[in-house]
Amino acid sequence: MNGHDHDILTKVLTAGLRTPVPPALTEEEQWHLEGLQLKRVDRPLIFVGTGSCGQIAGAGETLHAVNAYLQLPGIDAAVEETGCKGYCSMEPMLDIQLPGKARLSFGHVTAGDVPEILDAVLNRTVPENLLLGQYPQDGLENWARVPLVKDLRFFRLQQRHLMERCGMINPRKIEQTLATGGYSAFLKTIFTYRPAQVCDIIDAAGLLGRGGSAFPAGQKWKSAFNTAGNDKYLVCNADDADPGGAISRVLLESDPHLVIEGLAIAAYACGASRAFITISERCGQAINRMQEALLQAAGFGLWGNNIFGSGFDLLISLKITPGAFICGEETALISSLEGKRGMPRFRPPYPTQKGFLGNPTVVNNIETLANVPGIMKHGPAWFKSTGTATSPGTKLVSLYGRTMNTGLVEVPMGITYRDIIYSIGEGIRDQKQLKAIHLGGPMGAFTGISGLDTPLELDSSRDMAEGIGSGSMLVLDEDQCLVDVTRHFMDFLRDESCGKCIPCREGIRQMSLILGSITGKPGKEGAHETLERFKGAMQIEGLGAVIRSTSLCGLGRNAPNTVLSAMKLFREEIEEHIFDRHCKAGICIHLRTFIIDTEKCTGCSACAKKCPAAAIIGSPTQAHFIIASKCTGCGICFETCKFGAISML
Amino acid sequence: MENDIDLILNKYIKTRRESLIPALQEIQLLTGSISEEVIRKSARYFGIAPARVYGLSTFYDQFRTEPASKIQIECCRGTACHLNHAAGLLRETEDMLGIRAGQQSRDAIFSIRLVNCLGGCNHGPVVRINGKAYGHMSLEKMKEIIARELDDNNNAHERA
Repeated sequence: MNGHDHDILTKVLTAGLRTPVPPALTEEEQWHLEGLQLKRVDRPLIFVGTGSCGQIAGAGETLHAVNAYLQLPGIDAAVEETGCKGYCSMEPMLDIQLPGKARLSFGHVTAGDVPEILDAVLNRTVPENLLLGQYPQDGLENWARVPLVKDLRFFRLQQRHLMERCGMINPRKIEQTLATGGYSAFLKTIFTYRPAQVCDIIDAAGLLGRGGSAFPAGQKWKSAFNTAGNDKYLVCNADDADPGGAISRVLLESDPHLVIEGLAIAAYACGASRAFITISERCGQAINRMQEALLQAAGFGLWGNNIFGSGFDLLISLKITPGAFICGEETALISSLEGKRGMPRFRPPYPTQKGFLGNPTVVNNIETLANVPGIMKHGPAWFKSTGTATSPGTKLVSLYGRTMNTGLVEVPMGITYRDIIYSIGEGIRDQKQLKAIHLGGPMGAFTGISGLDTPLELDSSRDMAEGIGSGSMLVLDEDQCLVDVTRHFMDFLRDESCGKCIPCREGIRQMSLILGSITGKPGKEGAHETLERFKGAMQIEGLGAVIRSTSLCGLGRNAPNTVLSAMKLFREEIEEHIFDRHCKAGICIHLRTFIIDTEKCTGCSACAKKCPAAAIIGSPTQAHFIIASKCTGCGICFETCKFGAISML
Repeated sequence: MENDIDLILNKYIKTRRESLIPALQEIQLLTGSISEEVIRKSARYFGIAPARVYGLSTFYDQFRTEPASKIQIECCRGTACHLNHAAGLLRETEDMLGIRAGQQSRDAIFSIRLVNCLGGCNHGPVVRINGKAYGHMSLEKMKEIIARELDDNNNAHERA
């Protein structure tokens, strides 16, 4: 950022806050500000989404191709890297804005498509291929016959409050955030309100914690604020350990300043002068972008000592968590910050009384904090106008699995699961049928088709088994085996249990063993094994109840949710695995049986050579056979056979 | 004798146990692993039992106690990747390299590790090899990438 930008943005940020009132922007400065807001571009501007999902889809190559194109003679354009719009199934995404024209958006842009698209758009035509739509803006001319992005099915039911800037601005340039209103809520807050007033405003807005437990954020802050102590801490939990949840990652990579702003307001409200942002070591890009953002914000004086002369001090540090799912639990996270093993402890005392190193500490989820600037800017009434009476606002939902569209979506509370799947997700891929959805990550639960019309809500009185929890929604079609998914989650929790209390450490292990024997290879002593499996399955419900009622923390208490809900909804499928040793979906490989059609088999021996278990016998040119007791069900022979002679029962 | 480990440790305040994790992270970044020497030195530095430091380094996924391998394969075990047959790919990879997840080959060239989610949920199965994540992974693709990485590795050695 140059000095000129700095002066303009300081004027914009501090307008109306200080006396004497700074002079209004001159015409030239206003003109320059519009440039920073991306309302006006002097030359074509190309945006490439390089969030981590984009990178995996090939955005790095796309960006490379764009840069190569810009080197061509006679091309005068610039490129900006943006974050992610949440539309993961459309990555890599590329946007182009020409001077005076609305911004165009394209999806699935591989390196090879770049020259064609850029050639066309720079010559003021719009290629139909790969086009998604345009973003209209005041003062810019719309393209003819190009749909609006907000009318796409993926975006139509979304209400983007938190994700407004995600994918639109360059997260590595603080001036774009500042020009589009970033940090204005924070400065307004520290100059206009006392901390207790901020807590009241957040309380009045009814902001509930987004991390899963749905505790009112304002009350948490008040509790810390009212506890005596000189050193108070605020921790922003930005580690979505949930395998499949992408909420933190998208926010951190696409709009890190929104997180910092929310964090700063929260720290002010609960009287904290130290704040931590915890990010998992897995998320390299999120760490880099947050580090950069923190440096830029400090450079602008947005955190540090005596922020903008207000007398409020705030020191923010980035903590890289060494990776443990249990650190989503607040006392475990604090223990990890203290340099110990991340293990939960008894509450009370709550962290707001005795937390980090014995000081009052508030732990908030990243999404909770991201909601704060909006509330401070527009007021509690605005916040309550979205969503339902008991849970106002919007919720970020990480939609993944078998829907046509996947990614991170922001929906108003109260929307039904059906709308998310069939409208935003555009239904199930390959014309398959929906089988079930699984909400809330490993500790969540299945919801059957009958529960699709449930409105999305946060409710602290219900346990996690019934709600959206941390916000991930896994969509399963008829080709998926529920027992296998359940086993996957239990194996995950078995590995992630911290080991402190026995019900969780041993109980989850037993559950995982039982599920393993249900989905595993039939043993040699058939009758005995069946009995064992049956016995295990009989006990699983009782075991679940014990784990739930005797575990110390939320991980143990919610661990049996998946299994218990699967038992309730898909009993038949589980019984089929136990008694018939059959997996209808053909996912549990140990339960698969392959046979060779002797009529079709030409005796080429290709399958016998590839079989890793040496389970196929037969002489060349003669029909081959599979020895069932040796077969592991891997299916390599099935894929190898060119004559279609091998089939799965 | 002073070495790199001491230099890193000396940057942190001795009485601050909470600096232990950042210190270990920094050391691992430099030396590739948390060796016995690291455990002893950092325990002495922060005035805690070596068993505590060892306990810490085995609790968290990030820390490893064996030296870093040349080819680090990290398989995503996220649910979306699981639906895209990540488990099958992991099994094939394990069979190909002759080691299980969480292990290192005896010649210290390969290691396989499971990670929770790499953020490419629509492009599964995702595998990260030496820090770069690849989507739609298959055994063939992995072989190619491994060959390329080994080449780069050898070239780097020759240059050095």
